[in-house]
Amino acid sequence: MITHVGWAIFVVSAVTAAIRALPILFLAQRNFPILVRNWLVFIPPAILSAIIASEVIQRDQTTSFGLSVGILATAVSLIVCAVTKSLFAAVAVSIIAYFIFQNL
Amino acid sequence: MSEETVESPFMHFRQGVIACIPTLLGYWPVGFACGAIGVASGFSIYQIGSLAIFLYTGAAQFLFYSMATTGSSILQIAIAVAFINLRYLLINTYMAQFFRHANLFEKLVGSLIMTDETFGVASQYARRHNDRLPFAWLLGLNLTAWLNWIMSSIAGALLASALPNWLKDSLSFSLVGMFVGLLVLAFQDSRTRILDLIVIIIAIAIVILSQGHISNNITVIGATLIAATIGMTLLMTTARGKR
Repeated sequence: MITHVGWAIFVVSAVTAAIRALPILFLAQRNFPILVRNWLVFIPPAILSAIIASEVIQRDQTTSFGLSVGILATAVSLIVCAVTKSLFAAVAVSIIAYFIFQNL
Repeated sequence: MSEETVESPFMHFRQGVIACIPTLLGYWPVGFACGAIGVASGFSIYQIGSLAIFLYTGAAQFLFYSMATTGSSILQIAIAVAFINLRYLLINTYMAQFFRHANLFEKLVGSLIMTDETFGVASQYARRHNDRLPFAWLLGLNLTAWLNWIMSSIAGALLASALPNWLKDSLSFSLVGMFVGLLVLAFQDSRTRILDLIVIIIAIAIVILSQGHISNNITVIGATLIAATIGMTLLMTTARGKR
């Protein structure tokens, strides 16, 4: 175990704070050119889908019929959210679906 | 009710708090697990609470516990945490456009407690409100998420031993459910759906193809940069074609 836990917490927090704050502190006043604005439009779908894919492929659990539990639960959550348009439903269903598929 | 009352900062703040509620179902299990792992790794409740308050990012907290217990130096941990949190450079570069008229305090508060999840909710709100994002609304959203993260981490540290493993495993998947929900809702509100779909497919394909070759955090950033650049290029080409 590391000896100076307090210092370690301070350093990692400061590094993360800098990463979070610098873009907004230095870029907020700038008028981005159309190229950058059009690029930023695609940041949310790109980063959200990359995070989902990354989270799902890290889970190697499969059902008894050999399908990925993570992919199945993601698909169910996606369908439910598309139909209900509810974030709450997507989250709740993902937990239930993951539990059910784990035991199939 | 007058229009002035409807648009008051307090109303915006309250709406931000309400907008955060669906995401809490995702925050609690992960925060809980984070606190529980902290205890299992030998950290005190004060240290777990401090990490939840100041570091405030699940992935980096898990990494911190792992590296700090396996003899890594502070510098090594700091570099690893910086890498794992690089996505905030992209997220807050996107968010910067909504802070054009904000003062220093608003910029600091707005940026320091921004997370992947609140970013997803906020970007969706901005799309629905002509690219406007009131600071009070964002504060309500971010503050609710932050406080719940702290509470869930501490609850996890206190009650970890009471939950069975199968339940912890299912609950941890809620984070994926939340990102799926945010993506679907953003897609449904989008003005560039076909291009969004192309961007989503490319980002997922890059992550899958890179698996096992590059670390996951770098892959997520690389996939985002490449997919967004392709989306932007297609958008510019399409717009030029229409002219």
